[in-house]
Amino acid sequence: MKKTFWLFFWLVPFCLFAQQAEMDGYVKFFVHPNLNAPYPMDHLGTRLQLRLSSSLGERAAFYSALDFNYEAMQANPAFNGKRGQGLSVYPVETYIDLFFKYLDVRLGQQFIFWGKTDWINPTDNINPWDYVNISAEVEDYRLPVTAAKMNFYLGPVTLQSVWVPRFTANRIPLKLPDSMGGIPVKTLPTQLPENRLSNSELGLKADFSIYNIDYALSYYNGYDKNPTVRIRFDPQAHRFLRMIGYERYQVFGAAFVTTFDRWAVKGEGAYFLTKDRSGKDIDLQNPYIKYVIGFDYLPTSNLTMNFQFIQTVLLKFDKNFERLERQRLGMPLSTMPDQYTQSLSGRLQYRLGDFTDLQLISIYNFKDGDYFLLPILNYSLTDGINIYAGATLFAGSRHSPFGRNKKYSRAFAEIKYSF
Amino acid sequence: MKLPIKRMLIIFFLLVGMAQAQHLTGRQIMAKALNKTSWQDMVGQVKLILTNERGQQRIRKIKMFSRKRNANESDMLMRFVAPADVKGIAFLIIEHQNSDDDRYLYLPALRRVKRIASSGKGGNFMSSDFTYYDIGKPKLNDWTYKRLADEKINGFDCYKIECLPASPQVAKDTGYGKIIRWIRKDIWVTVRSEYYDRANRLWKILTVPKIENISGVWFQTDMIMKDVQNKHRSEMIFSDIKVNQNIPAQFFSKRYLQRGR
Repeated sequence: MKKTFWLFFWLVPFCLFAQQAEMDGYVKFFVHPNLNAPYPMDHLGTRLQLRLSSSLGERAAFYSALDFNYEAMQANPAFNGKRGQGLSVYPVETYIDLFFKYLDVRLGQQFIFWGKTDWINPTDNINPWDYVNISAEVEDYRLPVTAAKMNFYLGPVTLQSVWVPRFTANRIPLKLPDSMGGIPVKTLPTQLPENRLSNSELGLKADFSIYNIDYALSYYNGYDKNPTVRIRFDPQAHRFLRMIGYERYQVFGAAFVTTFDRWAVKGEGAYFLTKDRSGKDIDLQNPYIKYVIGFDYLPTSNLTMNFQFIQTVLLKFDKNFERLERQRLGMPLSTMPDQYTQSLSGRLQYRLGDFTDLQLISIYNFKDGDYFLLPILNYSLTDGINIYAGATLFAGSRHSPFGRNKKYSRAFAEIKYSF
Repeated sequence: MKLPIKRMLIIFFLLVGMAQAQHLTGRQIMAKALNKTSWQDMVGQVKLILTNERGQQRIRKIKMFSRKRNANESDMLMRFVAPADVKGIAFLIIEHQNSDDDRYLYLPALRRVKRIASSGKGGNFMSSDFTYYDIGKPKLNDWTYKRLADEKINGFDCYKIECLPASPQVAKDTGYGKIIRWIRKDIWVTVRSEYYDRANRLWKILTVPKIENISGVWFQTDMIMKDVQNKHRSEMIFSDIKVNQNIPAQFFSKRYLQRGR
């Protein structure tokens, strides 16, 4: 029924405004083999994406992108939600733009990305991540949200307001253990925020430039897209109970970027004001600051280098309290967070001739020495036909953030024809 | 034989003009070429054909908008129209005379406008053999000029000028150790250039197969740049050029860069 609705919604303007409509898209064949023995196929299939854009006069426009997926094989369909096994229709984006003299409005299912740094953006909290589908295409690993976005152009300042009425969580390959220390764990149904007005999310951002430096100040009041997991011991049933839910927070952010010669210096930081303002609830995230500082450097026309330092600092953190509380509740000490975590990210992009583009994205965590690598080769067979090959590689010790995802390391190869 | 006074005066002024042209210095010729009638803003389509040494081609079509803010600074917005895999990518350059240009890139796949570092004036324009310097208006004082013996190019009389960088910084920024230009005498348009690298080896040759007068402005509507060192070639063919359309200043902004329509 929902699919029919999307199709209908998508086709009506096409029929009404066919003269001004433009259709393009792509077809691709994809193979995503897992890189762990026995090397099961994570994905094998075909996708047709149709994009329709249409000017509705001078003051309005319509855009829609729909994926028609056929997945012949899928190792973890349970993780993939709407992108299901077999034939499925996935609405990527569908929105209407309204243009006024000092205001642009976008209504509908869309992507809204904030931030000025590369790949890691503390202020970018509107569209959830799909950690199951990290590949070469952003729309595969980010999930669209239904939102109303307004941009006000007030001379040198651009104000943006975003309203997201309905919560969407990050899609995480969460395989939680069935027991802890030999004691069974029962996971209760995930508690999602109810669909009501008071649970909607709001974002405000101001962009401006002063003396060749571009700045952004932002505020976001919404839900942490990552789940909060509470574990309690049930002495009567002699088991742990695991409760998964989502908590609201406020994010105050700032970002800048400037360029000189062959350099771009950029920074972005955010203060996350969580519900646990005093740091006295060990189940909830303490308030924290996350910032990224880094640079781009272009030594030649065909090479771009980006390096960034990332730090997260937990505020109101009391190590003794955290330990004692865990001991009191019978929780393993391995669940204790670190007050300071530091990482380094890098992106190298090299264009080899007219047809080949190589890119390597990497993130390294200092504490555990774990890392994530995303090498991507883009070879253009001819205009409009590209071959992508690469891998999402997680490595590190079993309990480290990337190491625990090792089993999701996979390669990908895609042939894409754009039309 | 008696010539009427009027005809004599015409001949006199023509001879004076020719004598003056003969005595123009390299710098004066370049100044005239740079200051000829131009446009305030322009819009057009560019077909960019890149050919590598194996003869493989990539063809890109770009919609280009440009506007002069003043004599030395302009804004340029370019949007890829084809091929389909790059369609929608857009690029905004806000030129500054005394500081680095602001450059913004809109990648529809990323849904973001990104401020990017420039690879300098010597950086390649859209991965072609043209650099940003080649497609922009050169600054007269950046070079010293020497007039060489006049030559004909495609049957047209041309001034031949040797341009040497006025400072090591200009050589570093542009990547050129020397440029030889052939400028048509009748319309003051460069019809051929040879670019030498900083080691004074011939690097690139620009030829201009087609020049058109559009609304009183001469345009090089077909330009071929051959890189003789790596055997690569780029051709830019302009079409649908319209000048002085009163494109508003706010069009050259991040707002229109990402609007895409």
